[in-house]
Amino acid sequence: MKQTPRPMVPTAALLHLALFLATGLLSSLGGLRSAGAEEVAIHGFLSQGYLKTQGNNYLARTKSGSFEYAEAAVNFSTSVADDLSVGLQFFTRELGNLGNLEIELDWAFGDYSYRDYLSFRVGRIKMPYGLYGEIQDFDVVRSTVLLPQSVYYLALRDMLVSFNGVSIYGSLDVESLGTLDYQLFGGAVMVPNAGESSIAYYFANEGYSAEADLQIFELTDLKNKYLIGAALKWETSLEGLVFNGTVSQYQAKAVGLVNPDFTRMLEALNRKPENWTEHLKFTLSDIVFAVASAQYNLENFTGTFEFARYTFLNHSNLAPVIPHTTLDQIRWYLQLEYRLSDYVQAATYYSSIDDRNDARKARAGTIPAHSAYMKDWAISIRFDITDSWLVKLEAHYFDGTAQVYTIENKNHPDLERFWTLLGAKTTVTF
Amino acid sequence: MGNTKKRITPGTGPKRCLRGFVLLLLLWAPGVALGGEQVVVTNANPTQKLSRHRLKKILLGKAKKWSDGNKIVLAVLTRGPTHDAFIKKFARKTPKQFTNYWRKMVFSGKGKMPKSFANEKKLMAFVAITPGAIGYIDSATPKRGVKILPVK
Repeated sequence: MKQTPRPMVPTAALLHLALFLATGLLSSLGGLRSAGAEEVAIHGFLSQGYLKTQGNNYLARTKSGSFEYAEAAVNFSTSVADDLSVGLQFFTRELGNLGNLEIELDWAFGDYSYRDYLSFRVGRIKMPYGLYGEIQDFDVVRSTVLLPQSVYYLALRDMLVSFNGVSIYGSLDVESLGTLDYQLFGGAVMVPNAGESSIAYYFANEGYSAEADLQIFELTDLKNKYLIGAALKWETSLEGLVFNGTVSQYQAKAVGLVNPDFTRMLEALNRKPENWTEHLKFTLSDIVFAVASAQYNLENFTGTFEFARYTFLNHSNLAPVIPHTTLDQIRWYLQLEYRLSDYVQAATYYSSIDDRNDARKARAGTIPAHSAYMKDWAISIRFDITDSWLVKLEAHYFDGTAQVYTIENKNHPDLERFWTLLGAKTTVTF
Repeated sequence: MGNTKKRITPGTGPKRCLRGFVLLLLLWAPGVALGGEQVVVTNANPTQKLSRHRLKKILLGKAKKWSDGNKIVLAVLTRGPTHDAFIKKFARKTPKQFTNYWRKMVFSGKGKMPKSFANEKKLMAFVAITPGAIGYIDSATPKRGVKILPVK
């Protein structure tokens, strides 16, 4: 999937940065200074991880141990008036074949605050998704190396991390019930380097035939037509108890190329349709990611439960050879975290994925049963060496391979049902 | 009241004086939060009192403006017993949870780190000259240029 590298910093990001710096510069020169104008705040982090699996490669070439797991970000923000602030964040990552340490614009928006109950953001905005979607890239603010992959699957990050559009949000006090934080948003997901995105890699795995050891097709571009969504967090009047719900719906189109070797195979088998073309088009409709969450916080303890439902319909222009597909998955996890001291925090979680469509195929005997689900038991420990430097160690035991890519395990395409993962991560924050 | 004089037995005098002093302190210093932390704002801030709920929202960046329309500017201590006690009591978070909460806000673009100060003197100096600023000090710290905001 590694293709010709594109420019390190996209043109749009440079434009955003130029506008931002111009605003800050003019403010500092007094051209736009107001009572609310402030200096620019800069923050960032560097994070390096290591993953080692036994049984299956997962997310990267992990069976031999992989350092291809790194993230970094830097952000700039300032207030240009009492009601208006602007900011942007650059982000880069490497995870196996994904990211390739190319710099992307993570978020960049203007925020106008009218009242506590009504504010607006316009620009590239982090996607509300579960309790941790907006911060899933930031190792420093979570206790584990990997967030539960049932709900926070790293390989689908590109569709769930940020969007270009508008967000309306606010905080409402409801007497005796607590506080409601709401967010309504709409726009489109701009997947950077779509042909190298995690979505393209997902479809590359779907388009790989283990029997023929042949990559049948690859996506070259993905366009999200629109996205709408909503989020609601209820901090109840029972101290520490929080409920949260997020839902987002997308429509998207993807284009790709069929491998000429596959076309030749069809011809040899006399199965090439009359109207065959090597230009593939997918129309993805009713893409829905919905998450319901509950969390209970005591002073040193946090218990979290999240439940997600993923669905989409995919219409293929080359059906039935490259068929229409659907996705219908139930995903959930239960996590317990306990802070043992100011420097040490422990966590454990059980995470579950069930693919209903693959379950039907498994019952029909066309795929191994363990391909239709994935259960994950994890235990993790975090050491805060200083306020700005941490180290984490983690161990996982898996039953099932629903989220393991055959394309990463060509040597044993049936995959190992039971497998393990060890992880380590260190992060410096400034 | 009568002319009866009460006999003061040995040992009760100092105890009574201490109780009286504590009572005087509590009456004299309005808005003293339980445990000795006090909320401070600029003298020009027209707000007369603050609910615990509203204070928590301010500490978590969910309350953005005072009733007079001024932006709320939060000032916190970097560390120390006053900071630990205040954050636990009013933000309902440990200091580590509080720092992590604000890091989440910063890296998701939803907020900026509060202004932080190594000691109460510097925090008070900032609050005194910054419209809309709010911070906290220990009740034993002499206040300079700020007013105490009672928390109910």
